[in-house]
Amino acid sequence: MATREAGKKMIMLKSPDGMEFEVEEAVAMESQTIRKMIEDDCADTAILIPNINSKILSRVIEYCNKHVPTTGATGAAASDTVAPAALAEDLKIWDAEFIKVNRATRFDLIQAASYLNIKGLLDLTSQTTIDTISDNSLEEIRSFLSTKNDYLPEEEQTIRRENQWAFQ
Amino acid sequence: MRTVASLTDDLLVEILSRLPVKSLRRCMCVSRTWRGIISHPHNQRQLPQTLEGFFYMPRSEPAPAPSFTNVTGTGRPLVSPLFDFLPQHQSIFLLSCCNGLLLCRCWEGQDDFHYVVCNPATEEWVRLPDSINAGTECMARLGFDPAVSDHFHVFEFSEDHDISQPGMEVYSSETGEWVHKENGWIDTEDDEAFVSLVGHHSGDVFLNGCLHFLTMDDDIAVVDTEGKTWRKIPIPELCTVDLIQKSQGSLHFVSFLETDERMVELVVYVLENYLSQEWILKHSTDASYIFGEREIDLIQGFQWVAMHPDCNIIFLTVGWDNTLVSYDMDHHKIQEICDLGGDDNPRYLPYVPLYSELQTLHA
Repeated sequence: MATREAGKKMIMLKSPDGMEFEVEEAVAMESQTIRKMIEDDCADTAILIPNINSKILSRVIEYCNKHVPTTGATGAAASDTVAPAALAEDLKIWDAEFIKVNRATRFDLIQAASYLNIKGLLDLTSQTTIDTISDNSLEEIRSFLSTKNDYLPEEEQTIRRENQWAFQ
Repeated sequence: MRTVASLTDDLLVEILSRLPVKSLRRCMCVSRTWRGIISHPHNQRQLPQTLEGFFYMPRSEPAPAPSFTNVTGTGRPLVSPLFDFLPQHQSIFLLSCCNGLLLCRCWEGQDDFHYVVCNPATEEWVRLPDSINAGTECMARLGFDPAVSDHFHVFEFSEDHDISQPGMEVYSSETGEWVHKENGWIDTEDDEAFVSLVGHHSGDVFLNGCLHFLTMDDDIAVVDTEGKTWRKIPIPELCTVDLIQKSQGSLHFVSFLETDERMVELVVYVLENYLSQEWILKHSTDASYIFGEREIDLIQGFQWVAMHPDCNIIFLTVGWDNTLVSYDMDHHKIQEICDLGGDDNPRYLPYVPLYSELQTLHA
């Protein structure tokens, strides 16, 4: 495995569309799935990440870079001097910017976060969907998640009646 | 480049599992597909559950098999109350139901029974060893909170003052043993103040790691699983037949109250701030609205069934045919669900299923 910078171990991640991403091991290990592969010694050569295209994978790496504890590649300057609370606030603002993406990208990110098992990213990416489901009408939920109402009218009436309490 | 227009079923479940149960129930109405996903046995383990129905059975023991009705009053009962997954027994008596688990007395003969804790949703069960009160029909209740631990406790109270060690026996599934605790409720001025249940039917609540139940002395008796905390919470009104339940995370007190003008009112109190012991009147309404054209008979004309664990709905039976009705406090709406018929004085246990498998139910 190639090494770069002062003794930092690097890992090569490959997307199915042929792109390669060299990332610090600590950053890659934000993903519990990759962590397990590394710990099980399955990561000698490049790790192929199936089902996640290069565009999404690069966003995921961007997220992990930002969220890796202490001396992440981009956060190195800030983390030593800034108080934890300010750092958390900074991360929150960064997350809010990060998640400003279209719906298709967000769903791809949810899928990637789930496959790679990155809890923070899964929480972040699914929150909008959770909010939508919690706060909106059935029609709005259906349109947001592109799901069709396949109930027969009388069937829908029954299920609505049985769950009436949940609409109050 | 490939884009995902909608979520896969697994990811949808992942997201739905983060919703409160009320939102999840709304989601059941989104589409038939979603309902299928939400009620699929594989997914149910991950998703929050709510009130699905009630066990009901005669009060006397040994009794014929219990019955179960869905909360909707329609369809095949969610639970088959035959309990044929349990080892062979002559009859079964349901004592307590707590967050998906049931505590039963399994009778093997005229004078021979043992306790079983089971989960009807997964058909898992475990037989408990005998307590020192073996053979005596004590009041026994279950304490279980899967949000805190997979372990459960069984509280057994000896009401008979003649037996040698009146007090409480507590079984812990963690140790697999019964432990005796001296009665901590006895107050020096009133040594009769030990636990006397109001007919064993007024609901018992396991909340904050403590068992709560109504006593004859117009108190709610509280004890924790360690037998360290013994408290009494005064009830807000002196009524004849009360119900205590846990709903929306708080202790609720439900009763009918006769007012000075000889009117009868339904009153619902909530203990929002548990530590302050201050009851807040949440709702009251004229009982005649609930009884409709039936005579308001507080002695024989009704039975409390439950309060919904996730919303402001009260369930009770009224009339000689035990008509199950729900009263929606928020919308002041009464709805007849079904006639339960049969026994004139049954007891009811509300049931919220638990689909996770538990190590503690494998002896």
